[in-house]
Parts: sequence; C-alpha cells; structure tokens
Amino acid sequence: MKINNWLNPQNFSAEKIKRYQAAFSSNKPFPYLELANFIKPEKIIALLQALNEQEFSPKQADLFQFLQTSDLLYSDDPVLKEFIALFSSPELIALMHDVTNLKLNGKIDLFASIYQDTDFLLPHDDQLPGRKIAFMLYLNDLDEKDGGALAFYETKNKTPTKISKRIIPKAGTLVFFEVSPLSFHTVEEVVIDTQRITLSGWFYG
Amino acid sequence: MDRRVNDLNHGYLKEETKQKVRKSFFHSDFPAILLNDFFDQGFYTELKKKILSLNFKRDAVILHHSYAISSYKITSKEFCDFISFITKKKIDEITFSAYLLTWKDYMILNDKYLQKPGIDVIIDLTDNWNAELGGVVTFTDGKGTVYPITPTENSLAIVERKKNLQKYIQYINHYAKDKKRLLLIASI
Repeated sequence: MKINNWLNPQNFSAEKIKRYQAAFSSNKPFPYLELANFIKPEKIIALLQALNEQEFSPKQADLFQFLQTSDLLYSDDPVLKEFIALFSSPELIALMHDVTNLKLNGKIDLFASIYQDTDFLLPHDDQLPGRKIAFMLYLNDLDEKDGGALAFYETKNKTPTKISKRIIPKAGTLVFFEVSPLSFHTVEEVVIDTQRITLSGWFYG
Repeated sequence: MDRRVNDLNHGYLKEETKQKVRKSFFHSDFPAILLNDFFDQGFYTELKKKILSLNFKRDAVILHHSYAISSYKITSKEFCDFISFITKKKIDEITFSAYLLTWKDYMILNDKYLQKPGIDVIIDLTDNWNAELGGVVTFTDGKGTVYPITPTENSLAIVERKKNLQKYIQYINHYAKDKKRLLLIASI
C-alpha cells in the first residue's frame, strides 16, 4: 500500500507531524485535529463514485437521524478496499500514533453516512470498549448556514455544558479526536436541501 | 378547573365506550390507547389557555433533554374517574408536567434518567402538528421496536410502561419554525 497514492506527502513531513502533535494535545475542549486536504482531490471523486454504488439505509432513533451504509470493511468495491487498506496500513497507524500518542492495534471500523435536510446526531461521547480515535473524512463542502457542523462540547465534571468548537465540513478534510469520557460531540441539524457525505469510523487499541 | 356540562367528549362518558376502551387498553400487545377529540371542545380550549399562561422554565440537560417545563394539576372528576376506570387505579387528581418544545428541543434516552414501570398519561395540546417536524412522543423497548404516539390535538394517550419500556420525544427540526409543541405528561 503506497499511502502517497492517496495522501498529499507535503502534509506529512517530520516538521508538520511535530506541529500536529502539539495541536492535537493542546486543542480544546478535548484532543482533536483537523487536517485540510488530507487526501488528493482525485481520490475524493473516486470515493464519491464508489459510495454511489453502496446501499444507504435510514437510521433513526432518539439520538440520530441520517442515512448510513453497513460496515464497509466487507465491501467488494476496489476503491473502498484500497481506502480501508490505507486506514489499516502500518504507515497510517504509525502516523496516528505519532500524532496522538495513543496505542492502536490496526483494527478500524468504517461507515459512510449521508446527512440530508433535518438529519442530526445529538450529543454523545462515542465511548465503547476499544475505541481510541474517532475519525471522519468529509467528501463534500457545506457552508456554515447549511448546518451539519461537527460541534464539540466543553465539559464540567465530565458533563457537557456548551459548544466551544464547530467544524464545517470541507471536502478532503480529515477530523479525528481522542475518544474519552470528555469527547462529547454532536452533528448539528442540516437545515437546507443538501447532502453531507462522510466516511467515518474508529481506530481501535 | 371550572366545571362545564361535560369536561370530556360525551362519547367517552358512555359506559359501553368506556368498557371498550378499557378492554382495548388491557388486551393489546402494546398496552396503549389513543383517544381523539377527547375533551369537550370548550374544556379543551380553556385547558390549553391555562397551560399557555403557565410560567414555563427553560431546562436543558444536554445528554437527556432540552425544553421548557412547568406543571399543572387536573382535578376534573370526570377526567379522573375516566382514568381510574380505564387503568383500574384510584385517581382523584393528576399532576402533569407541562412541556413546551420548539426547534432543537428533544428528550432522549439516558441511563441516568430511566423511568420505573408505570402508566403514562399524555394529553396533546398541539394544534396542527405534523409528525415530520419531529416532537413525536415515542416508546421503545430498547430492542429496536418503537411505538410512536401520533401527534393529534385534543387527544389522550394512556400507555402502560412495562419493564424496559422507555419513552423519548423526537428532536424537533427546523421546519417547526416558530411552532410550539405543547404536551401534558404524567406517570401514575
């Protein structure tokens, strides 16, 4: 697996990784990093084309409403297989470890989600056994007024109190954060007739 | 509450109707009934006016709920006798939580707010509410089975919440605009 086929190599120099380490650990309200232009533009198009062939099912409960694929680890699509190989590769796992200092075992989960008008994900912390890092790769752009921002909560006594950071989806941006008792986040309601398309999952350790 | 000729829709005061409702309540897989046009129109209008004049307080526990809340006691003998008859519980008055929900409000499930088994009495005071706006009171057994209570103005729902049955109120989306979802909910 040549990760340079997918990633912009200039983003991963030793100097940049040092900067990512510092940013990840110091970002508030909990450790996270937002990497713009994480993957090459042609790969975004390839991923969107691959997802166009996947089946998305409506998911609705008290906490959420959106469309989601089944676990893409079992997909036969060659582009998705390559993406999974990338995210499970020793090089990328090492990179995530270098930035986060979290011990990872190479196991990941991967889903694609589409949030449409009125879809949302209410506040939660993502904690489940083994989950170390949550990640999401945005495949299209949204404006602030469209809704669909990923928002992080400040906490007091491990209870979320208020939103202190919003990330507006931008194609090719990878966001990841440490899953912890503090990692309360939400996806704000999409409020226009558009689609918010992401690949997301967790690195395990 | 001032007494009128009837507080309830007179159809629900007939013995035959009450027997049918009680049978339906106790003999369904999901012990619940939804009665439309429940109150006499005059009583309903007056009740709604009184609820809207309450002092609602905004309350948000981010991991459980966001809404405005107040409380209101219904002492109507007709109403309490009806609930007593259907549920086979002696009721002289019911103190309801009055919920006022608008865009972005919700009540979700949370292990710290588990409800003990009981009987929920829900009065819907929201005129012309479309379920597509969210705000639907929904019961779930936690295994993927859900029982939404269709939003209907001037309706009464009685739901027996057995073990593992919990309720939530769906997130209200932006199409609600300035509309207000008004509900009275009590557990007896």
